[in-house]
Amino acid sequence: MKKINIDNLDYKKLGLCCGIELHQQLNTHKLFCNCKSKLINEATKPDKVISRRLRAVSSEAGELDSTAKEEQKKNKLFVYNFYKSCNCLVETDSQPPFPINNEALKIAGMITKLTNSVFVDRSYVMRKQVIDGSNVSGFQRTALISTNGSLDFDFGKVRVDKILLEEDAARAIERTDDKVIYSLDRLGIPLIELVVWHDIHTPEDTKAVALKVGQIFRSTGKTKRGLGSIRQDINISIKDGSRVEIKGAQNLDLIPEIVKREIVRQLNLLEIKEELQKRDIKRINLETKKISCLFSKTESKVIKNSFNLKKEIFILKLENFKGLLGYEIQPDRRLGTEIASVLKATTTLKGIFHLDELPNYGITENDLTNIKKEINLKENDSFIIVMCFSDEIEDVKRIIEKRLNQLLVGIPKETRMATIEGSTEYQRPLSGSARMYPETDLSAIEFDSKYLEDINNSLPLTIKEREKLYLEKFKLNSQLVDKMKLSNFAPIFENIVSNSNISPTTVCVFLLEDLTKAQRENLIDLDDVVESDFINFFLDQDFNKIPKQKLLECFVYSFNNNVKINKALLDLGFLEQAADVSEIVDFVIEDNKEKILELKERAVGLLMGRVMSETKGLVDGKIISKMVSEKLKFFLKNSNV
Amino acid sequence: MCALLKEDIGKLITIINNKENKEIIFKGYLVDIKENFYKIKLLDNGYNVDVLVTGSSKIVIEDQKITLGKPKSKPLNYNKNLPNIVYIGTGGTIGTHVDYNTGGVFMCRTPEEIISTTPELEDIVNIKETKSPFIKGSEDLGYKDWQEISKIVYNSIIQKEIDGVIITHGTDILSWTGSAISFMVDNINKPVLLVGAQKSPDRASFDGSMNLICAAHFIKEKIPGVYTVMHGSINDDFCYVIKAVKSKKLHTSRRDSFRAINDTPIAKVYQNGTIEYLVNKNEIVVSKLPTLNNFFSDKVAIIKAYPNSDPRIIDWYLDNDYKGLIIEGTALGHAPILKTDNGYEKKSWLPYLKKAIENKVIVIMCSQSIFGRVNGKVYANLRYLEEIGVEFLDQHDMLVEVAYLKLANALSRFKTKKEIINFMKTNVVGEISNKEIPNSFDKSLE
Repeated sequence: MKKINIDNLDYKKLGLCCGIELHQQLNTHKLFCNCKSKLINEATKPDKVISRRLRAVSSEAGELDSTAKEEQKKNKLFVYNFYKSCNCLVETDSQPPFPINNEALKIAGMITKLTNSVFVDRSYVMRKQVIDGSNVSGFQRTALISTNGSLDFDFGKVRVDKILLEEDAARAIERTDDKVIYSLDRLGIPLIELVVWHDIHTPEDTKAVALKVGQIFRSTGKTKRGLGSIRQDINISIKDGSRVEIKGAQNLDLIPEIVKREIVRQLNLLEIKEELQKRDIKRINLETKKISCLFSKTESKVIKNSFNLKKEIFILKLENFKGLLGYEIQPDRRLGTEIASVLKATTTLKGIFHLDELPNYGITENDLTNIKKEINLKENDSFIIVMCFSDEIEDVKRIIEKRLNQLLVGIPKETRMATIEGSTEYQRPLSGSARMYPETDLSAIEFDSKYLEDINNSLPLTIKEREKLYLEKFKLNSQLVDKMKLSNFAPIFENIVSNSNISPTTVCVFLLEDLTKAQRENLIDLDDVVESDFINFFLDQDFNKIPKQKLLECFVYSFNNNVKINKALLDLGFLEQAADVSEIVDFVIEDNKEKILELKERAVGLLMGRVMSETKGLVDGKIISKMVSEKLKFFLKNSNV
Repeated sequence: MCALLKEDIGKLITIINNKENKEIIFKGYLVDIKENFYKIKLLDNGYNVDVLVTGSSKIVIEDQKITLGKPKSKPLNYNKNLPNIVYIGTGGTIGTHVDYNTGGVFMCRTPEEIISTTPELEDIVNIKETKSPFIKGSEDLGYKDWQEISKIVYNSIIQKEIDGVIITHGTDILSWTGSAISFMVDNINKPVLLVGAQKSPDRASFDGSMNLICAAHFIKEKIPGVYTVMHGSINDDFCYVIKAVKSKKLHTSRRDSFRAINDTPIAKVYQNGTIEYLVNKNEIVVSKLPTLNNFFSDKVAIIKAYPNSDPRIIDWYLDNDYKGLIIEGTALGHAPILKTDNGYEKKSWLPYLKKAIENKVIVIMCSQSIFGRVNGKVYANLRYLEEIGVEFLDQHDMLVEVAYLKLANALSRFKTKKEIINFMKTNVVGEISNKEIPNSFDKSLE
């Protein structure tokens, strides 16, 4: 069998085609209710816990979708953590959806324009069946907004197939064999899905396209930031292979590696196919046997644990299969790993053992000899060992047999999950279009002239236009320009600077650096801050009264307490009156010298009263109190008493 | 362009339009035609879009055609070891099907189609017979439907081999129908269970299946009476079995919108068949044989008394020969009295009610407060009403709709006012409780 070199792949010859689906969360309220789009720390105690089960239903065309069937088989309990700060009855599937969020619809329109896409004439919100529990209703709401877009790159034109507006799913926070716990916080957050056609032909170009689309999303200034707010799924196919969808590529830098490793996986599976032909294997049939008795005295922890769970040990014999299960198909992943990942996704099994990796895991050379004898293993045969409940073994056998027989045909079309290293694991079969039907509780989406005009008026500047504006007009230094031109805050920044005479650098540093710091130190929850909060703050008539180094503190206070700058300054003691207070305290002390010398520290009360009446309640008592006691101390010390 | 017709719906078509200097191609099944918009279910991804068709559009029609939106139906198995039921399907959300033409939900399911959503049923009960007297949403039901359904219930429960009846029904007036049956069939000796759904069966989150399963489990208990069996909490865990005459839909859309009013549910039924009684089940007995009394006078109306309301409406009912009025008064049973030094203000209800009663209309007071009893004594204004003959029925606690159905039945069943009032005051099927404990109201606050 030929060794595939990952660093020496000829993409043109392989006929590599990559497409990308990008999912971007929007920074608006939820798509079908008025709840805030914010995530809650998993450790936070939910306000309510709701448990549900889903049922398989037939689709419009009559047949059950294959994904739906697969999930139904597991018949899991779904537990939902409900948080009143970001959930309502809509997320619990106890109330019909509200009309679609207009702001989200507008952002989808902006992205349509920015990718040269064409609006559909009229759209309908659809229900896409999802029965893994991540949607309480059993479906995800989604609408097709536009099609036929394109983006230009150095390497050529890439088609933007379609742009969708949909609701994000609930977040799985714990999975066990019979239940999944979801946090409802994420459910309903508006999500733009942009589908790039498989016009990309190298791993590096795939990354470049993802990067550019990400920039377009952010240029609207309306996208969420942070981990998980953008997700990329990559479609990969090669000439002799199949189309595989890879989910969970969060890190852009990993994209080329994922593409390369998938090519390698497919090539290696094709190698195995060829090898099977050489060995003249036409169909793979497994022989199953219970061999628990061979392990009654085992030292293997894994096997002991299985016995404790009342599981049995089964062996599945594979004739003429020697060496193939241990064949490496991706760095550090073997054919055996591949079969284990299918079982993990579809049964309660956590993994398998196979001949090519034994002795190991507490299975000794002696055990191996016994096993071989027990099943009459011939030189070229191989086997798989599984630990499962007796009533599960038929399913397990069927799944392994199906997967192995697919090797004889080619690469299965499927959805896979990216690992941290860039390899992939089986997740589920590709979902077909059969699982889509109209949302009955909403009316059609119209893209009327008023809507289109509104979008044309709110399109963001391009990166190039921003560079020019920031450098030449706003006179930002190039470092800040580079950061701000790609920032989510750019439209807000432009708005503030254009509508005030505040120094652009001040605004820029505040938005890019100060706020991040405040978020990091948990002083503020940026999810709660909306555009108008910034605008109102910077355009407040009292903005100039803020001491420069106190900008962040003042913003945080005024936002968290929902007060205007004037009040914030007063409460925080930053007002210019502070200087006056100091003078007043000095005056009052001077005026009451004798009394103070008599009362000593006890003079505080007297002084407080006098100063308070002099400042007529304009200054916070705490500030006065602090200043009075300091100055009194100083006075007493200097008076040598 | 070739214009397509309604007959073309379901055909696979391709529409090519020129828009923003691009050739835009949509291929899919034609789902609907509305003026110049062709609604298409896109072939490659299943999305529905409307495509505007103009003179310059190119349309290609292919031979392939699909039939849209036909629910499945499952033949019923018979197992002689299980309790026998008569299943009555009447419409409602539980019997809806998504109409893929309009995206709307409408009622088209036969009993067999509804049962097919919940195949577990045939392991719990044996569906001996299915009936579908009508397929309607709650809002379209009328007294003739109640008379018909009561007759089917009566004919079912008098059969020896039948252990109970399950009725699927729209939830809005689920308990109305249950109450109507309660008064139209005397001495109901078997369980008659009303089941609905708040979420339609096209969803994986369909709640009707669990309600049906729980109802089926309750049949074997042989508890006589008419009950609603619906979700007991926001979770998919158990259903409450509530006397229909004490059951009310208190929420527009939640699964657990049915609550017991001034009463305790009979039992909790879990999906696995576990039953927890919340009352002493031995007290629920019926010793006589059922009789059908499906009388109904449609000359009864419910009128709401509220601030600024115009009492002249009462005259309209009087002019139109109404024989009974249920007044939905505030709290203990007030209607605007508006007494002045020398009579009443224009909008006082008192003179109008007095006139109606003098014309032999029976006027019964109920409360808008939902929970609690009415009373004709506590305030002077209440006494004025009682003095002119407004009936407070010895401080009853009947729900407005229950009093309405009971009075409509009584007006046709009895001749004299005395008999009618006597019937109204009698606790016939548990519609009037003899005492109220804190729990029923406290639970509603949880």
